[in-house]
Amino acid sequence: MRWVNSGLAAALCLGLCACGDYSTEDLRFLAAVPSRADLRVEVPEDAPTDPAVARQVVCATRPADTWLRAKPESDRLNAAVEFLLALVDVVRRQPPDWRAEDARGWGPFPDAKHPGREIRVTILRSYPAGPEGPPTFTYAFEARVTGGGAWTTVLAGAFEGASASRGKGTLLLDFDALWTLGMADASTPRGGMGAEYDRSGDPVTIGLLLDQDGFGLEQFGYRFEGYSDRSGTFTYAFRNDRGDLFLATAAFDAAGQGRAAVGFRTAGGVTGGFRECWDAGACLVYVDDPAAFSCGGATPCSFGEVSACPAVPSPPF
Amino acid sequence: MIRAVAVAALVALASRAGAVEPRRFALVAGAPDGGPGTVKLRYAERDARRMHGILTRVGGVRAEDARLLLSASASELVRALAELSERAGAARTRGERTVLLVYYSGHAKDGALRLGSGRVPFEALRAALEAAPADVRVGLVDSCRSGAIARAKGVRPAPAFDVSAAEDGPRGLVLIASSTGDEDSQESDAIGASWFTHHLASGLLGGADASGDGRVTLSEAYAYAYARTVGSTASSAGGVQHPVFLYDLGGAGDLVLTDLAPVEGGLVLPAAAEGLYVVLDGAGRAVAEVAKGAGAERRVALPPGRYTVKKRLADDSALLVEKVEVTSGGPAVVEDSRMDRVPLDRDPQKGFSGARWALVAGVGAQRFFDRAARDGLFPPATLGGLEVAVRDDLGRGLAWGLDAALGGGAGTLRMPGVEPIPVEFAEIAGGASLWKDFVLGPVVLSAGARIGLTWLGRSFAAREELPSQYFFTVTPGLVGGAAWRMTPRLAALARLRVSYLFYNVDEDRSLGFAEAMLGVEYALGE
Repeated sequence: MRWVNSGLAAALCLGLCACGDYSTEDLRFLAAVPSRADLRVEVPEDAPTDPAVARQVVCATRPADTWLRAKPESDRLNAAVEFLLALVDVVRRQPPDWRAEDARGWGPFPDAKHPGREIRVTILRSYPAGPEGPPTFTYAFEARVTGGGAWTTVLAGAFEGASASRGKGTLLLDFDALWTLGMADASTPRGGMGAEYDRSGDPVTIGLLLDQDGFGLEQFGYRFEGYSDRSGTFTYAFRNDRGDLFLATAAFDAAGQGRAAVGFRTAGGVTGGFRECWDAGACLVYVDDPAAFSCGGATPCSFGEVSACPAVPSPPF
Repeated sequence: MIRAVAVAALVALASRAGAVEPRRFALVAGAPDGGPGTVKLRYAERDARRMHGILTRVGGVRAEDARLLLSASASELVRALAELSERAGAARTRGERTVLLVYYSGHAKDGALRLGSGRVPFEALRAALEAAPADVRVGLVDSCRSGAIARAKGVRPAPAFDVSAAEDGPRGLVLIASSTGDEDSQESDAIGASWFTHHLASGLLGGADASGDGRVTLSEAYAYAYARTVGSTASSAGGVQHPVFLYDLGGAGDLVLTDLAPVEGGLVLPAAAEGLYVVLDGAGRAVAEVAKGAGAERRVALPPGRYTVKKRLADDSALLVEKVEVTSGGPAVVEDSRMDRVPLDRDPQKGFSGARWALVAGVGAQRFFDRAARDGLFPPATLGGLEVAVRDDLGRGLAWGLDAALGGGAGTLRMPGVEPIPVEFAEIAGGASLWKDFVLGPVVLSAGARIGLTWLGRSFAAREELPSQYFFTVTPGLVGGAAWRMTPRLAALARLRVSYLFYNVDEDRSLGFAEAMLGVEYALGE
């Protein structure tokens, strides 16, 4: 019996002496949390990001102004995602405070950016298709006033698959909750932002739904499809200097040439649409604009043949 | 029988030591490397240093007249002997009486001294001594089968020792060998010397001063060294060792080898003291031992310093121990009545091989036994490490060491459904080991246990969103090794550790890993 006690004592000692966060299972949980690369919208670099630069594009016809807005809008979109992932990053900065076989938990810990608030995070794993099937992760980032009060979910998500770079998931960020908790600043939008992504196949898809304007983006359901050959489609919204709203679905290839179907609603409430194609230099090669809206009323606004349009995946027309 | 008669004759001569002090020249050589087919001696150089120190301090040899050769070649030995012979001849031409003393500790085989790959035949050495233009030539050879030098022609047996009434001192050749022509001369880790040199040195320091006149003559030194060497080796595994003393000496009186009178300090064992007294230095190593009978005071000419004197009681029930400080102001008297009685297991004598410090440096590899652990947690790593090893400090053959290692590796972390993740792995480890050495000739095998502290870390440079991770734990284990001594100080080393690691982050898991290392060991100190 004595040796049993000695063995237990030795095991206890070794257990007490062992410490650290060296966990492969932690990495599996973290693999399910999307990273910047997983949610990044990437339109071809050829598209100028600066509208002033865009205006300087010299074309024999006219610059493809709609397409030239794609890159800046995608950058704003990425900035919105950055805001969301900055919250998610907390689980990467520090190891879990508790572990269970299919769960990890962080906190509660003070929110460094918002004194008097504390945060906790929980990630749960399940296997709805059985132990051999892909896991599903759900996570919740909750906050409250330090020391009491009910926990409020500010960010929730779900993911199916072993790795965010190969699976699909959703995220929902509640801006109103941040405002209620006093964790918002002047640039924080109201309402909520939802993101969904699917990287399980080709193309990968990333969708972002803003139910109110924010981050310089219009309230809209943005959507990006990116193929492995760097072609893709991008559905986005923007306003011009006159306040006219454009809703565009652009399809492009790796060189940057493409097609777009554009709907518009003027500040005065007039709606309409046009179609256009451009080359790799962002110069229009085809325009079908019966209302001559895209050229500010100049005529002839439409020109070219649709056969001049490049072949792109998921063409809008 | 011849030896016994020789001893008796020499003891009788002791009282007739000459009064005129000759000019003394000494060539002292220690050669641990005997070339191919021999095992390197551990204490040959220390023997030589010890004899050199005694001869220059109390042996009347001026520093400029002494040559100390350590691991020298045969040609260097021959040249040094020729040079001292020439100097002795010059002194003799000036009318001085001269003594040329040659001491050698090292290998001898097939009738020749072995100094590395070189040889000096006994006959050549004897001939050089015979031809040397000094009044007295003394050869002291501490090596295996060195008695063969005494079989050389022209050396007369002991009974013919010429006790002349002449007043001009002895003349001729004396050869003393540590063993007969068919015996090995043995070293001892317990005393850190060859038995013969240890007792000869002890005798020269005063242990052999049977007459109590403060001078140790050649005959006294030999008689003492003979008796003590035979006694010390009587029960040794190497067999009893008999020193040999043959001479071709004429003239009057015995040759005084050391004169203790000018030494103002030292130890004094009073007339009533009786027994075997061992003097230890500050490290607990024997520097002299005196087998003393009652009846005459005995002085040991030790240099100033702190010493411990121990005496084993005749009934083996305990030890008497006293710490003494020897100064140049006057002798320190050791009296049994003032000594502390301590149990035998508190013997302050460490043995010369005790507390031998060494530095070990090596590189190796680490590998976990479990494949899943290798793929998912701790990939194979390369390690480089240093160790301080202390041998014979805790007991005979017992060693301990402190080690530290740094290493790492790179691998790929594979998880189901997740793309492989490149991993950079780092490790810092340290530990304390306790092991037992088993000496098999030039090879030392060791086996023991180790308790380690291990820090393991990994990072994912290719996936910067993933945090670095670490794990720190205690890793007990077993250690084994083999060392092959290439030189007295340098050894090649192979070591294997098998350790246990208790992993408890994801789940409680018992893991084992092995570390293999190749390196070198450098012995510090003597």
